[in-house]
Amino acid sequence: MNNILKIQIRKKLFLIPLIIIPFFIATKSYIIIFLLLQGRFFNVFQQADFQVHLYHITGSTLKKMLHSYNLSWGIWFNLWFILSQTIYLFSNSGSFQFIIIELIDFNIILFISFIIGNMLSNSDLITIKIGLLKTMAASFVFGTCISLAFALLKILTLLNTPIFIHLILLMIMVGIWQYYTKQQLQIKFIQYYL
Amino acid sequence: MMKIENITKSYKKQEVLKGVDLSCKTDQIQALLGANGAGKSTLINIISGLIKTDDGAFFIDDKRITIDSYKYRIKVGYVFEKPIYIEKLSAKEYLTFVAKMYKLPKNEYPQRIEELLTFFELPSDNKKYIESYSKGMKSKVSLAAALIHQPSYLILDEPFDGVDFVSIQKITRLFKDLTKKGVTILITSHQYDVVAELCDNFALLKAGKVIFNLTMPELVEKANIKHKNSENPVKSYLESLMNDSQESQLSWLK
Repeated sequence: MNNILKIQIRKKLFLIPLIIIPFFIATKSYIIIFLLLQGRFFNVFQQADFQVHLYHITGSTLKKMLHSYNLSWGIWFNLWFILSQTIYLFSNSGSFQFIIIELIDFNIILFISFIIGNMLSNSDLITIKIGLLKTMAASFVFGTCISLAFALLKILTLLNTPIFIHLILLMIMVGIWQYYTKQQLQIKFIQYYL
Repeated sequence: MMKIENITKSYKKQEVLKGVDLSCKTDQIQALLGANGAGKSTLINIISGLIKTDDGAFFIDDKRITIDSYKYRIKVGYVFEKPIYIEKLSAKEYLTFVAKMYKLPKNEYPQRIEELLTFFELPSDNKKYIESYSKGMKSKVSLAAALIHQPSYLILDEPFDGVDFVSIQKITRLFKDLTKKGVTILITSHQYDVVAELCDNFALLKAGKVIFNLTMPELVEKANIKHKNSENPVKSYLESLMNDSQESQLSWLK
């Protein structure tokens, strides 16, 4: 993962989730960021910051790549989100517990994005020849899932669900992500990335 | 031994490879020659598992290699026409990255990297990224990455692109030494003089088919029949086979 972080820093890609700050301060919501940056999630192999053939020819399994790649983006998303929250806290009042719940929920959405993004990136969807249609299909699936998950989390927050329920949900999502990525051995449609 | 058997490939309605058969004997260097667009790189991409073949098969040591043959793929070192490297890493960082991907032991790869950097005369510090290297240096990085895991096979598509002639001499000597140690090499190159000096067998790919696969003495014999009076009969013979269209006139330049 060190190398992926190094590449992302040198390419200044780590700045991409920075747009979270103005959006969060203006709307106090983060869902728009996931919808705006959805291509980062469901186009993993095009956006991998290096040629994915390297994994193919070295016999490396896809799970290794997905783990490092997802976690590196997880670091940058969290970094900018925590900064957004800090700025928001300084300029507005808010309870610390609420802030923590929001951070947990943010990570739940993040891991759901990784799961759906990884699934779409290595699915038959890649074989759709018309680029616009492919993006629309992926965007529809991703957007719907993320929006539904976000709505459910908001309901939980409105119902004043205890923090540990949010934590359990996060652990479940991390577990599913871990399980799914472990099953991934190869890029199914490597020829599409030549 | 590497064996290509009846490989066919079409893009839309254009048939690029029409049943390619080729055997690369163990401990030998096999040249794959052909004009631009003959299908060499397509063939290399197919046997590297980057493109699916429409029909036919590729074998390594009599084992059929498919797109999923990971264990066999790591026995091979690859250089592609469009070299693979990570532009935002230095040569040393990139080779370390590749070594880790091949799961080389931690106590082994630092020394291998140092030796490769010295051999290919690449910068051993991390000050400059590969993106700032010259074309030849990028080719050398690609070659170094192909050799780091001590492969038994090398599949090299235009490995000398942009490489200076002194380095080419050094690399060709290395390849010859490798074949003595049992490495099998398949190489495509447009640099006739290099290939002629380096390779044991010469296959010509034309119109999607291998039209011959000969040793140098066999090639000289054939060439002498048809181009006896030429200064370099083999080169003239190959040129005549690769380019059978009439030379264009470029009238406005005359």
